[in-house]
Amino acid sequence: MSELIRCTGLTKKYGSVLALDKVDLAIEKGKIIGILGPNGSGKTTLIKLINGLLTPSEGSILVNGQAPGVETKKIVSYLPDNNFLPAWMTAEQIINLFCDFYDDFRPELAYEMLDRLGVDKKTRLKNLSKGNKEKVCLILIMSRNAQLYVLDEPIAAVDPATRDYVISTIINNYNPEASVLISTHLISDIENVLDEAIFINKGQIVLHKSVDEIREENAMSVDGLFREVFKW
Amino acid sequence: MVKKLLKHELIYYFRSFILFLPIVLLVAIMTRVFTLFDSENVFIQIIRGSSYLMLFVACFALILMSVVVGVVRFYKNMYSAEGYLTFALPVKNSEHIFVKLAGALICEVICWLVVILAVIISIKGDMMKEITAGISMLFTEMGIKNVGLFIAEYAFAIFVSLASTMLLYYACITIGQTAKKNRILLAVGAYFIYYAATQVTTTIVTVIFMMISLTGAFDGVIQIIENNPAIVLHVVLGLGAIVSIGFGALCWFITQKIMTKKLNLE
Repeated sequence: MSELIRCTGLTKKYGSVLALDKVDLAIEKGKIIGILGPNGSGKTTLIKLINGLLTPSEGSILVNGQAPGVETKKIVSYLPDNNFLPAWMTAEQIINLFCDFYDDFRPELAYEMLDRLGVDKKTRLKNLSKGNKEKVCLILIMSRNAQLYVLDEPIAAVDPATRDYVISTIINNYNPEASVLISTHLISDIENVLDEAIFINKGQIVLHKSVDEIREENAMSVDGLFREVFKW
Repeated sequence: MVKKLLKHELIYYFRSFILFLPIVLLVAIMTRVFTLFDSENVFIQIIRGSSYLMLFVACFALILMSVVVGVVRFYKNMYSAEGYLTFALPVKNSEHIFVKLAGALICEVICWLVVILAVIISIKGDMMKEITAGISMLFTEMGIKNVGLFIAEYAFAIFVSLASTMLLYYACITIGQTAKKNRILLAVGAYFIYYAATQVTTTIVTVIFMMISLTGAFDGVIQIIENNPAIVLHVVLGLGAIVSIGFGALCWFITQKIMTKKLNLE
């Protein structure tokens, strides 16, 4: 089975607000896919549904043929859009935690990346700078040999130099047989690494094509098309 | 997975309490040392009185802290930004609740044991003998023959009561996290609604029983209570434990249901 994610009529409502509206989507293995859309378009809701942090109001979502749950969490490496690590823990303690719970975690890779970053493993996370905290989060997520990496706005709140670090860390460390889902609205920074792009607006998928197709059919970059589609 | 979760839970509690437990015991030892100076000197009496006060404050603070740390741990680890890490772990929600409860209870029980130990340390030998004699006399008057069984029943009733109270806090926090804003306020509100509901129910039930007892319908029961206080105590402890277990199960169900269907991380 080459299909990693299958959404069928996926709908999510928050009270009367429709966050996702009958989304049909299939994502294959071995691709780097950008989930692109303006703020409030439904990107994070879709990501939370993939990770089982939300349950669909209607429709279904399958990850590797299973509804999100304990089994899918074993194969999905998820980077949320906020600093999710407990500040009181040291880098070493958090690595031990990942080792305990994820069979696919590669501690030697995590320590190697921490060394390169110049972060001592005994340092408490609360003593790190904001940028380094975000890098440690990314290091942990990318140190897993997962089948699916889901990265929610990994470059949204970082400076351009850190963006390069984030993107190179993703590219150099992901399992090539896995898929990487990157949600962002900073398209120009990641366009070159994407295989496919999904445009999402007001809870609906408005486009899902390969980056090459987008460039050929529209004679413009993904960033250019995004600006045209989402023009005010 | 439960073992691994519990390991990390206990690391957190160990870190939170590692300083406080020895401090309470140290205060108890200090208090005991001051009791050795059996003097009428005002200065020594003030120091002795102050050390007892310090011990009381330290014990009270430790017990309060054991509950507060358990509640804060649950909220932060499950529903703040840390929740993204917690819920991304390949662990069932029921396992999360179980481990949070187990960790909090282990911590509470250890704190209570330290408080009991501190009290024993601080009391002079002859005073301890008087207290034990008093308790022993009370047991005899109540007709409690098997003291060991009574203590075990009492300890079990307290344990399930601590567990159901902690599960009540978890349920209130979980209700609170469903709000977009003022989550803590909603959690406190949920607790007060529960508190008001139990007060009203208790009052209504008491009034009904009093009205029925005026008719003399409970005369036989009252006679049994007067003649067999020990049996009544066993029944009350047993019923109390059953109610606590039932109530705790309800809170667990509410927490797990909302956690699964209405998770609303910050």
